[in-house]
Amino acid sequence: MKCNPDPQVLRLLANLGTGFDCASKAEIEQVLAMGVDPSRIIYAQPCKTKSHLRYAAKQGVKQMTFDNADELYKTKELFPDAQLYLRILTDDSASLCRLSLKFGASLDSTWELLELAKKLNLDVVGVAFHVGSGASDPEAFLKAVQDARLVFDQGAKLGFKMHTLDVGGGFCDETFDQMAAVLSNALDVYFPPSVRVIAEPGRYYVSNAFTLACHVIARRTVTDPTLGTTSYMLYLNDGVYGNFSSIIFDHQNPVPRILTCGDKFLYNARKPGGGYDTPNVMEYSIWGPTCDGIDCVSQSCTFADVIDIGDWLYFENMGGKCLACTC
Amino acid sequence: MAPSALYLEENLNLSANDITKPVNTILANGYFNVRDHHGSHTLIGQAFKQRIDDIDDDTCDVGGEDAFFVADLGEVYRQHLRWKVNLNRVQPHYGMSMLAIVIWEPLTSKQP
Repeated sequence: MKCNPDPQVLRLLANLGTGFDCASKAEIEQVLAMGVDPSRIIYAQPCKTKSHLRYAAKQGVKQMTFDNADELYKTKELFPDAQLYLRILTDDSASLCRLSLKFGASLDSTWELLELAKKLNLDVVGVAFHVGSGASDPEAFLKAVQDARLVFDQGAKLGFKMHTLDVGGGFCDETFDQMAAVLSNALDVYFPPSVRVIAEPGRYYVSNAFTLACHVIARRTVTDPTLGTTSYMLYLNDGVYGNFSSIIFDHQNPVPRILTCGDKFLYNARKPGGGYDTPNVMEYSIWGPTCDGIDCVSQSCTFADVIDIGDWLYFENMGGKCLACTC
Repeated sequence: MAPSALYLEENLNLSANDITKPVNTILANGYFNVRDHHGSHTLIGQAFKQRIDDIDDDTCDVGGEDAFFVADLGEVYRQHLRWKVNLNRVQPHYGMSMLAIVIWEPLTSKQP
């Protein structure tokens, strides 16, 4: 198993002029290799590995986040010219991936952190937050923007010239319009146009762009003599240790659909999750290829077709993985 | 090992030239049709059919029948336009961690 940031999507985004939010040396390296200027990268990882930080310094990737005093001492030692964003804690209780459990300075610690940065002669250029991956409450953006305003004001009192607000990620396809409206309004109210605003959307761009096809490698027929019913366990050549990691890490429920069944090609031909409206409905459970009992793709689903070894299933909206949830 | 993803670049429905045009121009040209997945479905279906027709699980090499993605780059572009229209003030920095595609790779397979 290996992680492979997708080069074609990255190239398209680079051409469209987006920046990149990287969390490790490998990610920075891949973006720089496309010829993207280091100023378009933010190293948005408040707890950095020292060797990675040295690499960022060498490459001139100056923008980075911090949320604790030890990171400031580390930055002072390895990259005193860094342009720092203070990552603050947000209320992400309504999001699927609660990033605030891991990162972010609470509002009662921001003043001290800014004072320390001043003492160390480090340059704090902005504030960052992240409402959490798969956020469901648009008001979270409003509260976070208000909090960021407070920290901007603290920075101004200490003599920092903060110029950028990083509103993080958490945007998803379904709720984007609503989130964007709340965020736009909040920005207009609390930050003058002179403040640059950046964001770190990930899932938003790719979740619907990827469709996965899997091969049925084995089938177990389960008969219930009492009820006289037959159901099937299907085994695929992909599972939660592969492209279905989102089931575990991101609480997703990918919907299986039939791509081929015998000689029939059925892409987009059957309703997703369908089968109930037809008389001869079959029940299936769908499993990954490993021996681990957790490797289950779908506990229960129904199809009107009898799926056999060698057939293919497909799953839509498979691009939005939150693998490391470092976001 | 077969490639892990097929890319529908034709689905971008625009040339490299268009990418550098201001969003308004592109909208006027009618490319911005966020909710219309119909054309996409046709192309995605063709890509799947072509790939699967080439696979014979009775004769293929190890990994020849591996799971694979079809990536609709047009969808990425549509989302970008939608961002520009709704959040023009905010410059997106693509979150790399989100893009990590895990490729299920048998130990015996060769690097492409």
